[in-house]
Amino acid sequence: MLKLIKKYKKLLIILCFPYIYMLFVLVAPTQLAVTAPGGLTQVVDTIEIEGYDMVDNFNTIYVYSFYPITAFQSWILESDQSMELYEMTERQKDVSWKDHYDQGQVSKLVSLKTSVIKAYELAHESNSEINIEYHYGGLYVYYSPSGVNGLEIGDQVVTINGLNYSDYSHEEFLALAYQPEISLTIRHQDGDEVTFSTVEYVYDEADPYMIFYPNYVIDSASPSFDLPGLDSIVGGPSGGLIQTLSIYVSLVNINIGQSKIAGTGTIEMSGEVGRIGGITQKMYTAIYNNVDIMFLPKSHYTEIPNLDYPYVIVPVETVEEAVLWLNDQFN
Amino acid sequence: MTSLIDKVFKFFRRFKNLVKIIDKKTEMKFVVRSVLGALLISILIVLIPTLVLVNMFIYTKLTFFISIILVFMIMGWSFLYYYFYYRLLKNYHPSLEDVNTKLPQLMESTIVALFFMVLGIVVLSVVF
Repeated sequence: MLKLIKKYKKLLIILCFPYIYMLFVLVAPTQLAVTAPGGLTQVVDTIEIEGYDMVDNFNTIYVYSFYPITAFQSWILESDQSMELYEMTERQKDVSWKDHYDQGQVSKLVSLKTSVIKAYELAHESNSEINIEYHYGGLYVYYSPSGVNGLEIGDQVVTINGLNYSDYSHEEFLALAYQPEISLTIRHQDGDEVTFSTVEYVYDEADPYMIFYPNYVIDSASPSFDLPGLDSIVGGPSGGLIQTLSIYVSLVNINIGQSKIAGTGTIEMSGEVGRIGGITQKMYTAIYNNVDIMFLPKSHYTEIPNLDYPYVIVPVETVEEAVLWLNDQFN
Repeated sequence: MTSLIDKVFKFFRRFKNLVKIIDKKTEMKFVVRSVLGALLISILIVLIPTLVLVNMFIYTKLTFFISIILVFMIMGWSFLYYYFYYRLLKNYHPSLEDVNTKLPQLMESTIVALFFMVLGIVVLSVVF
């Protein structure tokens, strides 16, 4: 071995420098993140409603988010229009990959429950046999600064400074959570085991704000439903609008024909369609997957890239607008 | 048919004999050194192209294609490893210069490459 090393000593020394440089470029993480086009998830695989066949026309769009990326990746992606390269946010720097996954699952759970509630309420207007009962159940922890001990992603906040969620609307209870000094009672569920604990938090200017999601508890639903989509690894809240539309169309039996419908946008209990991340990548994903109709939040309409879209773009502010559009087109 | 089986048996006998001869002429200490040296050199050679491929996984449309190239690269690594292993072994034991190491080298490389191929197919079929 040594003989060989001695024999090629000069060559090895010369090669050593570019080799280490290449290794560094390929391995060392930067402070950059990238959002890349992903794929479609059929809503029919996400929700099952007893006695109803879910239509298979509706698809949510997911994109990939990678961070931190290497210098090599940032070079090759710089010229790619379909990718979005950006500085990692404070929250991205603060969470692990597992936290990121858990966050996606929490927001997906909230999004699915909100979609079901909203779709049942809309369908109730045309069929009084469709009913849903629910109540507000406090807040889910989506993000808390890593320095805060005792809070885990997915924990439920049941009281803030001694005040219980049951006496407040979501907006009011959420406002309480953003006071500079708070004492939270946390309900932590691990399988069947439920534990309660108290967390004290004093806001530090260096900390990114905490993020909470509403916890709506569905008491009863007719027809009953199941959410097999909760078992999938794809997470995030951006499927809210399209999930709501898919459930609604299945419940009121609108004939969509063969149209492949995709869309993006969160759903609020008020029916508002909220903004999402990676709109450009979602527009590309819809192109790659031969979509016919694409719903998106109206506030994103001016931000989408100027491309030759092979599908109809439907910008909406509320889910009611989307329902009206569908009824106009297909009823 | 019989002659083909005879040829295969003959080939294996030759391979076994050559391995025996190599084992007789080598010392454990130098075998270990050759293994470690060959591992080091072969890994250093394939490391950069492998890392380039791993970095390219960011193109999600290419993941399947890149995975297949990775499997081929790992299969190629086994040939590289055995090449350097016998080269180093000959370096430590000049008496091996007269022995035909090409046959065991190719034979062992192929067996390891086939193992990686099967493993790769299993992993790819689970993931995709």
